[in-house]
Amino acid sequence: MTGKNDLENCEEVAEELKKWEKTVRNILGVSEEDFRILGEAWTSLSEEERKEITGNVLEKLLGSPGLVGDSEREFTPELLAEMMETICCSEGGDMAVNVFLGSVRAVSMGLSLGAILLLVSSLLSLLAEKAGGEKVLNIARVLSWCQSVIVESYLLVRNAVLSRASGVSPKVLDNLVRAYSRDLLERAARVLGSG
Amino acid sequence: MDEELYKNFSEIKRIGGEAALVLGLDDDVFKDFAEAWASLDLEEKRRLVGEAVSSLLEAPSVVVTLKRAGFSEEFLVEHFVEVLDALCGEDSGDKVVKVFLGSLAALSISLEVSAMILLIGVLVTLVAERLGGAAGAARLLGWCGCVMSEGYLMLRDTVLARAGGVDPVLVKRFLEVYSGGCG
Repeated sequence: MTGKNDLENCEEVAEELKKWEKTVRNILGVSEEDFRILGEAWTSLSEEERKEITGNVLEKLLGSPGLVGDSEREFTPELLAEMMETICCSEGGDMAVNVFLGSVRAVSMGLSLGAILLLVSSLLSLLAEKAGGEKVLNIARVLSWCQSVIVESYLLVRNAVLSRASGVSPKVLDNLVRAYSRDLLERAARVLGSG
Repeated sequence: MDEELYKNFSEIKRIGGEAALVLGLDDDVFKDFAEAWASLDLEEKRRLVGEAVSSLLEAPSVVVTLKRAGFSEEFLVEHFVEVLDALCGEDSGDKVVKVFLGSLAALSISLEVSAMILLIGVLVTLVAERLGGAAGAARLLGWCGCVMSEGYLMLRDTVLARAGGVDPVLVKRFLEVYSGGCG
């Protein structure tokens, strides 16, 4: 994705995200039908059922202190329901921007990237299983789309912060991560190879 | 003994364990997926992974560094067949460590974390579509995404702390403040 370092202009970010989501949509083969099925799965639930789903997911997530950190005070089932409403009931490009805004909101509350992905995955997989049958795969495709948009959004924000805070450019950082990964792999091969 | 490596393994195991609990992911889901994968012969595995890799390579912005590094489509197909074999093998031991090692392998050949997550998304849904086992597909996808992204950030924080002397906790605080401004 281009323009990772420049978050000064929010309209540009929104445009970049819309381009990104189209690319991801093509790769995953996500159709409008998939989004529609997700929306239907959510809107077909009663308010009680929505509260039950968001409450259950939140309860499990809060039981994972390593992933949630100190953000538990700010997260409520009502907030999750609001986020799900935004994700499930918007369309295409707008949905990507909404997912981005939902992600930065969660990050601003102290949630780690893994926890955000878990939150969305838990909610969507519960919805998928409630919907059942072939719809599970429709919703799984949207889940994969959401993951990609969330990760790319997170990196967009993180790269901007890193460049400011450390002066290390994202490109240099990627090269360093690559070299470090190779080093760890070689060490793992030695350790695991030796039993 | 490689202390740093064991520290990484131990951290990713903790995260993978917590993620599985949150998602309600049990061994049966892994077993279903592994059985579906094992039912394919090598040619079918190559065809399935080839389909996922081809669709990924059609998006130049996703894999620009990969192409620049000169990795062929054939190499990538073989590579990811091996990664999935390792993940699904009966004697594969700890799945979390396998996913982490698979991520390391992908990162080491210039695949970006977002491309990695996309690829696993395409593969899991393709396997589920063709071979059934759809019920756990969404949970499995969620789990892989969480382990991969947290594994990536763990490496990135280590590299940052070494390269720039930046404390990851400080970066997290900056991120929270900056994200508040974005919203």
